[in-house]
Amino acid sequence: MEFFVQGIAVALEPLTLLLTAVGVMFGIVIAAVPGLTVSMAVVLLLPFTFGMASGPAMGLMLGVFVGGMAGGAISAILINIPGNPASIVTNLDGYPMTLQGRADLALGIAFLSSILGGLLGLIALVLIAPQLADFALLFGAAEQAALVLLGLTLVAGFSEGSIVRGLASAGIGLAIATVGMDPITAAPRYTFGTVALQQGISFIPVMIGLFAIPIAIQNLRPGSLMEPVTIPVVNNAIAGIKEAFGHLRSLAVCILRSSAVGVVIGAIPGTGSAIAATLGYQYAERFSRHPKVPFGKGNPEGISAPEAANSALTGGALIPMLILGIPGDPVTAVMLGALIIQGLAPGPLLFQNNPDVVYGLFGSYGVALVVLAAVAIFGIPLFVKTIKIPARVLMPTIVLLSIIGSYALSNSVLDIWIMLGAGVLGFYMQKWRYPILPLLLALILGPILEEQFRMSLIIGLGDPLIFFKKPISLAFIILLAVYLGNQIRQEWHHRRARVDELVGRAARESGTSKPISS
Amino acid sequence: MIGRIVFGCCLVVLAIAYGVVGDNYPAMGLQEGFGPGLFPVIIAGVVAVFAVLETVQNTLILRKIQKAPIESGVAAVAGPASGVDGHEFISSLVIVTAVVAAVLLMPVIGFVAASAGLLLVLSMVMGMRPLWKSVAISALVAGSLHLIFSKGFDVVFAF
Repeated sequence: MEFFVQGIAVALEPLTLLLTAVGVMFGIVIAAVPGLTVSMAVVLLLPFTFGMASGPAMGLMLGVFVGGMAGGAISAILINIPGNPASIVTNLDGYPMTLQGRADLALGIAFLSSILGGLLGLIALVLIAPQLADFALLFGAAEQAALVLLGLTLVAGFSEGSIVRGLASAGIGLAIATVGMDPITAAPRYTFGTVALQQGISFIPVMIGLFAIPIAIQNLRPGSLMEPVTIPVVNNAIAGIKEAFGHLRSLAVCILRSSAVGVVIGAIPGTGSAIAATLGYQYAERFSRHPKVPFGKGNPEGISAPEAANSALTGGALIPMLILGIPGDPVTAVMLGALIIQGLAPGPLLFQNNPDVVYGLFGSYGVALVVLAAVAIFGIPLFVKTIKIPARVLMPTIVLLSIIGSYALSNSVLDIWIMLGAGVLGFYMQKWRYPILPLLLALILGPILEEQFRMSLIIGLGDPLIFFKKPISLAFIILLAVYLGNQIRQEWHHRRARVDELVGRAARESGTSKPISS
Repeated sequence: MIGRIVFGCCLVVLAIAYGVVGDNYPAMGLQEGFGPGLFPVIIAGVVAVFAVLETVQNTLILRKIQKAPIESGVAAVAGPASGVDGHEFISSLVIVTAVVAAVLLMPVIGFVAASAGLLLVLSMVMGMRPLWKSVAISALVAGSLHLIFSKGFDVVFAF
């Protein structure tokens, strides 16, 4: 218990507090502007944290995470364009409410649900994480290797695109990770004689390139990010919040259920906020008792469910990142990077050796929620105005920040080239539907995977069956095999069936030459 | 679809090359069998297998599309939908060229000038007019970022 108090103390240090608040506001703005992603924002903030202590650095990133999950609702509700994957279904009932002149209430419900969902996520995190950490302490080299492999497979499977491409992408990441010195013998690999590559390819410039450059490429064209759109005036945000409170009792069950969904989805590596929000919405539809208003026409639960789910997701996502060192989504991947730069390795040992960091993180999460509440009450009209940010200044600045950020890591120009290469690769991979998160995670976790893998072999005296002889490791492998086999089989049939369906439909309609919309 | 198939083939070739190079890293003494070459070979195998799987699947789908009646318009849907359109290809070229030029110029004309130039070029491409406004904003942003990072975070911009 005293850890928790200590954590709050860490979170309330002036610089940490300030940065958390800044982070929340920054996150809301980024999320509200369609075209900008929260992962991009967090990765560009990463270089700013190089010189900071862990408390402020984590506070800043958590703030952006919390604000980012909530902010997308603003544009989803007001202009029917979700600013962020987290709010991808919030517009279904949010926008109709705006059309009915009830934008204030819609925003109030969205933010209230985000705050409560986030709170429930935090509670889940605080309760579950320490227990899981104790369990993870039992892991030896074989278990760790098997777990990382399972994590990568899950991420590959849940990412956009097929699992086959996801695994190929992870494989590419693992290959990139082998450049440099072998973790066990220090023999140089793939350095082609250069000294520069002996350090290996740092994942931070790669991360910056993957998250920031594709956005710049996609948006580099004349015209602002947003078409000139009349944004409805939100003048009574405070009244909206008060009114939302009035609905609280009827929304309580929905919020609880959606938060549970959010935590579970967050804890599974690879599943993102869009899935949490969509599932939350679908469950709300299914289990809603007597909806006075049909879903899709302005039902408050249609806003509350996805927003609570995507905010609870934050708490869930921090669980595998902190305990196992396996980040499940882009933002936690960046946070992992920040921790590694600070010299803190996530994992069960972090709980033992640096409980102040862990509980400080919990504390900052709580602080971020409070800031969110404050923003919701006082600042919504202001944030609404920020949706129209001129892209012509923003995009070039993002490119420049990417350059500076990659360089600042170790004053190396090579890192800038790595960043650029990764950015271009990431852009084309996205176009060809190869997901980039598996690549990034494989790059981050590759050295650990290889080290633990070979250590297991050494400990097991060269017996490759050691992974099957240890129960926990075997369990992970079985899970992996089942999941992998199932996914591949499903996707193989699904893709070919879809093409058959298109062709069949087209044949029936032939005679007209209109293109088929899929 | 063709782009994807080509990429898949390239991936297979690269994987094999990577594996062959990796296999040649000598394992010393007790490391026999699991030296530095083990992991690369495994990875090469994995990537090659999945790249082949993906390419085969894409080729089968491409065949189906080609066999479909022309009026069906399936090709229009399943074809370019996953491709790179001309605009974005040019954007990627522009950004790469601009960044490379800027970084190469930094030792010559200094960080601030080179970055301001980068910002100027990119914002003009995006349609910012008039010229003086772009120059002013670019200089301002480049200068501020330089200040923030060199004074605030002790980054040494020595190229």
